[in-house]
Amino acid sequence: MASESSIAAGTRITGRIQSDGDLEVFGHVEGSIVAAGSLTVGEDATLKCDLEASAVDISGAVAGDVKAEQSIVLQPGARVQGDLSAPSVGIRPGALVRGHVNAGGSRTATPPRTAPKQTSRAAPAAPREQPASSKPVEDARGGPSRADATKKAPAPVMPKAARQAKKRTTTKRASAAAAPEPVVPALKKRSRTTKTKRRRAR
Amino acid sequence: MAATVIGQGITIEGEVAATEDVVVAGVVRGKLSVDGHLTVEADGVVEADIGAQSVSIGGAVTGNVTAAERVDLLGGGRLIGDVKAARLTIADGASFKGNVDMDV
Repeated sequence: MASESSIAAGTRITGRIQSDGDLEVFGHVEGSIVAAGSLTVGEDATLKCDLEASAVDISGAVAGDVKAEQSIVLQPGARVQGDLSAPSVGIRPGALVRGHVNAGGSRTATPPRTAPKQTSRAAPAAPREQPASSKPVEDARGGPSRADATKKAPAPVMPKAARQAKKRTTTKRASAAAAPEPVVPALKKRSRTTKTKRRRAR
Repeated sequence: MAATVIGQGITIEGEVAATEDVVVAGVVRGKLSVDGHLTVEADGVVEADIGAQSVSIGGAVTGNVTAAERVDLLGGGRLIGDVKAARLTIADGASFKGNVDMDV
């Protein structure tokens, strides 16, 4: 399966490239490249994609994350905008990198693969957490504007505080002038509510 | 290194556009346009519409083939799709299903 593959300088590929063997790229690729063998990125190559291979040797321009099971070597003239993660990473003088470099044991190299999945799974749960995170801000706002409200709604009680916070935003325009130190998100929210109210008025 | 070689074991899903000769021994799905000669080798699989100067097919191609000069369907080659080219040769042992338009 190890017949060599190469993508010449005048070739543009948009999409996914999967390789069971070695791959040389001298052209332009947008998408993703996954190679089981070694991946060589030539001098004039321009890649806008994530790279995964057992060993990566880069002399050209890469915009994307680079992962290797063994090693990544950036030759002089290489330009990489993205993260590098491999057990061993070599950056020769004259190579440019803009991104995180994760070099060392394979344990440190593997977490990035699992990490994005976890974050993506956690993403739907994030909205549930949002009311919790927005509470302290609203409490902080409510503190200076309405002393009574803060007394009625202590911080630990979540849903009541959130409901009252909504009511507060409606009544806040009157109390806005009295607020001594308005928080930045509070200003944004007020402006939104005023805008929506103006729209409704129209 | 003039030519692009998509070797055995390589799968490309997407669009390939080349200004030089291309040799496909792997798998290409999507679209393949070559400003030169395209060779689909015996092990090559192309599931894409092809546009090229000239095409020689020894592998399996599914898709319409448009060539400015010629299309050669070699022995053992399989082509399912329409061919639009000034010249077309179909070798003994090749299989072909599709329409031919040599009116270019």
